[in-house]
Amino acid sequence: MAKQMHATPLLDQLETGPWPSFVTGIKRLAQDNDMMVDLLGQLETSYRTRKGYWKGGTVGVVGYGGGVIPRFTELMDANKKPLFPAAAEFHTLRIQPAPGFHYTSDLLRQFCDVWEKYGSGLLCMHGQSGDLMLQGCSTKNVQPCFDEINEMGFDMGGAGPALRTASSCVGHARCEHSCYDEYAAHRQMINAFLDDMHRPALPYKWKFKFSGCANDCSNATQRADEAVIGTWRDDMKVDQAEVKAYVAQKGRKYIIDNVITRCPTNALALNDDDTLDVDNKNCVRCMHCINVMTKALSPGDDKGIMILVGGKRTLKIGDTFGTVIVPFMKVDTQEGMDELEEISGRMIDFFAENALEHERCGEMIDRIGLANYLEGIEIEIDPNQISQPRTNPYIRMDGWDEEVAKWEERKA
Amino acid sequence: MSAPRMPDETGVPDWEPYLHPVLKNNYGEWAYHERPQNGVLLHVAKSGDKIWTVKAGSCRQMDVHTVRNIAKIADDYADGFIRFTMRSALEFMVADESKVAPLIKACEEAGFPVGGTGPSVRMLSHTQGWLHCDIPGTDASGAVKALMDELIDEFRNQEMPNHVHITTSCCQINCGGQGDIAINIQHTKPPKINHDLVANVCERPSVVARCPVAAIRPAMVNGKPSLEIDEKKCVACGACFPPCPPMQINDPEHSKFAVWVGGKHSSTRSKPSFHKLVAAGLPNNAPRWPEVGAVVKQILQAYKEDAKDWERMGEWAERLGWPQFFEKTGLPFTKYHIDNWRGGRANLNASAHIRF
Repeated sequence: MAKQMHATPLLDQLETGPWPSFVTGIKRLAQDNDMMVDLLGQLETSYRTRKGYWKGGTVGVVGYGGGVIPRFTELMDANKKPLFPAAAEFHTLRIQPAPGFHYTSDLLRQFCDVWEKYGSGLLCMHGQSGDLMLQGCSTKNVQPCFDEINEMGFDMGGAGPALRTASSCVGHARCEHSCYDEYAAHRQMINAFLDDMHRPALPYKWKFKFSGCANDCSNATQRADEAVIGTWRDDMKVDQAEVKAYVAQKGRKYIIDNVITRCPTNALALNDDDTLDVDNKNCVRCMHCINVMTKALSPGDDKGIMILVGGKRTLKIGDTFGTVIVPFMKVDTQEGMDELEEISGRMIDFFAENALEHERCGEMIDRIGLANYLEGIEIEIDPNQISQPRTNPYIRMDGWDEEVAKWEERKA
Repeated sequence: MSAPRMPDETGVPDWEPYLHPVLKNNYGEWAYHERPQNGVLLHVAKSGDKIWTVKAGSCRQMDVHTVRNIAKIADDYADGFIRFTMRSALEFMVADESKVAPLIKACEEAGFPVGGTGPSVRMLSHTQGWLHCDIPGTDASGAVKALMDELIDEFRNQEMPNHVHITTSCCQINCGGQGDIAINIQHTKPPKINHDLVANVCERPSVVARCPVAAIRPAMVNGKPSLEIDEKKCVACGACFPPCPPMQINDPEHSKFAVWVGGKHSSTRSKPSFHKLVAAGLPNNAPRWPEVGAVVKQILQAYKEDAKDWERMGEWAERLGWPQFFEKTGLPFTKYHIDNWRGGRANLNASAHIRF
């Protein structure tokens, strides 16, 4: 039996209604866990005053410079003693799960057992970057807790100015749209640069995300410094018998309104015999028609990836999407994956050497220009990298002839 | 004293031991999928193997008892495996169609509402908030719980034009990310500076550098080195608060909610798009934020009634034109909707296109 519960009239209102309640979960933990009793006290205070009361600090494990998010309470009584002492230290451990967030029931129970032994018993599944987060650990328990989790075969995730934990869509494991082995790329890229995760020394964070197609279920385009997105370069596959069956089932109007006219490049046409024509040269692999007619249409056979760089949210220059730097490369062999690792290594190195403190890669590119960036990471320019050519004349172009010669050479 | 244990730097673990056997056997070899009913996906592999996925909502921040319940459902009804989605939904998978109905029943009985497939309001993605963040303007788990209570029918049923991703964020850093609807704290007053603490707590040049509008400068205040703010320049973004906690930006009264619409990560049909401001000035009214919920429902209703199938929120607004968006949702249009940040002219109507 833990210490007496604080009154939580505001949080109690979050126990009603049909959606699962985190408050009910915390209260269940509080029945025999003083830390959670006091956590409820502090959280109720926040709900009442509408202010947060955590500050950071320095807590870590031997050998690593990151991965723990330290939290100390700022709510003090008149004698500068914590108002909610049992939750005065409430750190988070970020743990990297398997790509795709797959677990066995046994593994879930193992995490629960370790976490109940050392921490609050509250888990966040999962953080926005892709970490399993164990929330609510005292300073002294951080090390033994991590040791046990590490011995289970799991490693700390990223925090601070470092390589961050990555995430992948469900991909190859359960999706017919998947154009490359997301999990293999995810594992190889992170593990190749693990040193940059465990010993934070980058200008700011570096996030990888892996999506198998343009549907981008891992939200890579805007949320990743380096987005790896699947695509294909041969013709989309069309099963005409299935197309006909679909038209028979849904009607021509439905197909015209929801498939043909929704193609962003007008690359589709429905023939008089209810078969489908695809202008593959103009198809941008957006996935819409494939999403609608999952049985009739699918990506081609010559699959690969594109790399986008520089996605991030507002701070400090405003939002940026990742922009294409590599429009297509094959990663279906180990050599292909190694090449992706090599390019990623150049990107991270250039970022480490050239970004300002607290500057994301997208901001750095905004500052130095994409052409300079590409030169720095030794990626050739390609018209797929732009949505349109420049619209202003403020550029010195006395190297024009040399640049044309390079273009001719690349074409040859 | 023995040497400390050094970590085993294993990084990302192998995924294979945690994959359902049908997923493992058909890895990269899937043929198509269908949605046989609300909350259920059927994936068919090229081999002919089938896997049914039952998707259910969680509260993301879960106690060990809840997680053990999930493990028990996985053991009793779902072949012992579970995966989580990017938005913290649960996905139980079974290789036998006859197991679907009992699995759904088990999820519902354990309090995990089944849904979130196809054109539905998906689980809200959220951040840490008052529970764990050091700079939060509001709570995350509570706001999500309150909203999902209101939107649960739209989660269960597949009645939206396309899927709707809603996100919440407790400050303008916006860890919740882009969304069809994004609900984010928007501060409306400059930070209040505790000049006694700045010199000891903050690295002043980095704080000056952090400001996007160069409104912060070093200053001596009451004989102490501190920082001052040009309040006319300040855009109340709160960027100075994380590196300098004595510059308190959170204010129970003046930290408001803004609602943004039309964010989209995917390149499906249209190119990815950022969310756009549609409403602001909503009070931070814990524990259930009813004013925010009302605006979200207003937007969802208009979208549901008016958008074409497969049209995401932003694509709908784009086709309709923004004047009609404000008309159909009943939301007021103000001078604050007109972008004046750098590059903002791209968001003005530089054409003769007007709808009447």
